[in-house]
Amino acid sequence: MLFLKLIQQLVKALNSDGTPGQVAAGMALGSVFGLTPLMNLHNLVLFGCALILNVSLPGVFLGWTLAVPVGFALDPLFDAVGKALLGAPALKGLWTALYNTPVVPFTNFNNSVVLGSFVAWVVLFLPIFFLARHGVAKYREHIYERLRRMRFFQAVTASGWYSTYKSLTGWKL
Amino acid sequence: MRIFRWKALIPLGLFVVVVVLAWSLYVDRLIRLGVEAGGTAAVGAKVDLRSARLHLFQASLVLRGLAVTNPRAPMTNLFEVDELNLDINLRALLWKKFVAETVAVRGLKFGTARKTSGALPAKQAATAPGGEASTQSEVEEWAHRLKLPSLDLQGLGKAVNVAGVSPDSLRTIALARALAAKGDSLKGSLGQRVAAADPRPTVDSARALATRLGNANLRSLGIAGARDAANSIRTTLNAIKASRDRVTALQRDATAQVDSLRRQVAALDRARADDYAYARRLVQIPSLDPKDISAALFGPAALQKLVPTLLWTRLADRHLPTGVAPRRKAGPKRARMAGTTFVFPVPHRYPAFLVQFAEGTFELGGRTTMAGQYLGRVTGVTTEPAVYGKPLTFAAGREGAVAGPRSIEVTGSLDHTGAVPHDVVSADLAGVRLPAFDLGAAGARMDLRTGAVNFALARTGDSVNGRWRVRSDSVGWSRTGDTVAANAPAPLGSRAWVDALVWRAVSSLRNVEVEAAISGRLSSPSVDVSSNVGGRVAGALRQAVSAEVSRVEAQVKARVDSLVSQQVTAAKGKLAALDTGPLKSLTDDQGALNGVEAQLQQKLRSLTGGIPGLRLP
Repeated sequence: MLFLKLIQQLVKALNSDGTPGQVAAGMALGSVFGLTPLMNLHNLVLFGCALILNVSLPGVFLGWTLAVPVGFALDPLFDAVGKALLGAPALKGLWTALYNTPVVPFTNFNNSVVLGSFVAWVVLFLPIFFLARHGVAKYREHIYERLRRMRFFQAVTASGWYSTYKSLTGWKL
Repeated sequence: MRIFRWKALIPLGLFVVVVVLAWSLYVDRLIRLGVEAGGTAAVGAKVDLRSARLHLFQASLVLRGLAVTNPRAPMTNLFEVDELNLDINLRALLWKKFVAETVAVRGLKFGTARKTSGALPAKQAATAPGGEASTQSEVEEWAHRLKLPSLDLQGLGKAVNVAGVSPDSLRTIALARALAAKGDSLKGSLGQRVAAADPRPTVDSARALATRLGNANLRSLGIAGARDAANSIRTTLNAIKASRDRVTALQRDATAQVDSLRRQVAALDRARADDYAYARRLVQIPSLDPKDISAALFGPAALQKLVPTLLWTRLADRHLPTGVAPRRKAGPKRARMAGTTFVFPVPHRYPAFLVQFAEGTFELGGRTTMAGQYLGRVTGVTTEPAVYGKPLTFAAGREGAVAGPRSIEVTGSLDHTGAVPHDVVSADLAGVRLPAFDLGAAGARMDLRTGAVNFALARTGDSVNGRWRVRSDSVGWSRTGDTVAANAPAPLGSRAWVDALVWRAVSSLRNVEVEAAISGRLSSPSVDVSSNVGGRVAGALRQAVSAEVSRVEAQVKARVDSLVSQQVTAAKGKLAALDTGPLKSLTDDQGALNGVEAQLQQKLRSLTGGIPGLRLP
């Protein structure tokens, strides 16, 4: 079931009205929710951005879904990066100022995994964006037409959930 | 293409409304769970809270039914509070800090029974970050290691088996052997260095020059000859000076090392005194010192009072860290890796947790010394004292007692604002009902009835000084053993004999004073116990058994002396060998160098005609 939903997510994102750039921006933005621990203030702000900015929402959810296992797998790396940054004497002044600034502590930036994963997301944002844009464009150009003739693809897209979603959003297949 | 999707503002607004609604619905539950989880982690045992109610617009929080389990007695609560009314600082919440400006406490009770155990599951207890288990076991281990004298006289009146004193267990022998080995090693190394710095070639060469010049003078040598001779003398004098400097440095070093060894040899006498005491314990001869007897009689009871004090002092260290340097702690538990959370405190800002002022009434149950109604005030309870910048202070006084005229005042301050923690606690209880003591070592029970208790503790850094004193003028005594059997004649040194002797010594005492003092390093302080009861018992014992004790002590001393004398003599011999060997050799070398130097100086003066400062061309 989860796998089916992932496929539907993928199909929605890749075939939506959005341009490859919008889908890629959505995926790059959505990946933050999977890469960094979810319950932090910065994710709430970025979720608001994802809604307000004209990026593909299915792309956001696809990026999120795909980044979750990556986030779990890379936690030890994020932890090491976060510890190095938070423990760096040169940055002590910055962290102290942020720690003692209103609201900022709710981002939990002072946790090694949160900071490490957030920095990793910032660094990976553009690579994810360009990679995804290229991938979506190639997909729509070469694979989509062949895929839509496959029975499995038709079964997925014909599911009730998908139809409902399609009718609500108006996105075409 | 537009960058913003303005129509999304409506769902975003709805989302925010849903979040706010969910928060207002569940915030009380979240606070309750947070207090329980945080409290459990801090205490190391279950913390229960019946309900929490946040009034955000009134900036107040009401907690009801707070029960904190005593980690050392899981079926008992450390304390229980019916209601806590907190006025909270909303501004501090923006910094993710919790600051309660005032707290009114209602219905605080200590030591109440729990319906279910408050112990944590083994796994959770092991990982509880603030768990007190390790601190408690450290303090208990200290108490266990502490050697309290015993009032066991069974060795008296019997043939003493001094052969049981084993040479391996005597500190003097080990120390003497180590000293002898050090002496040998030092003698070898000094011998090599003395040989390397041997000034004899220089001395011999100087003497040869002096002999060669004999009675030569300016007239017999001529100007050129005298100049050459003077130059030779100066060169040789320089060589003598260099050689003497080497010998002097070596002599200084050797003397320092030998002096150090000499001090260690002096420690042999102290070690021998310790070995006498050890051997005396081994053959069960009690000390007749009143302090030792007081410790034997009241030591266990004093430890019962002191162990919790030490435990709380050390827990205060754990929960009230000093300094404002960045700190690290384990991250929050979650599905993702917890990581490490760094804290970057700054002085005089909001600490992570602070109760500025709390006041309330509380009650101690039962019919013990402390039972009654109290009024207490606490200020500056915080997890970051250095950030808050003010010490934690507390004061409690009794408003009503269970029975009789009572006065109890407890005050204290825990100052962890600086680099070195400074804690002071004092308690004065007058006219209170005091508990009865079972003096197991004497087969008697001492009922202190009504009296006074004073307690004071001062701690600075790793140093602690404390005193616990109990006084009573109306003590009652009773025997805990078989009275008939106790009155029957008993063999010298038997338990019954000791019981009877102690009973005769103390049963007429009405004024009793017991004082336990603790001092030294916080991790392993020493304990001294004194009491007029100990003095009375010591006097009676001296009268009854001093001859017997002296006889056995003499045997024990003779046994220790026979075991250690050979090694001690050997160690002292090694020291003497250093004095007569390398040190004497160095002194002789100094003398030889000085002698030949004086001879050459004389010769030089005669060549230059005795005119100071004159140099031949």
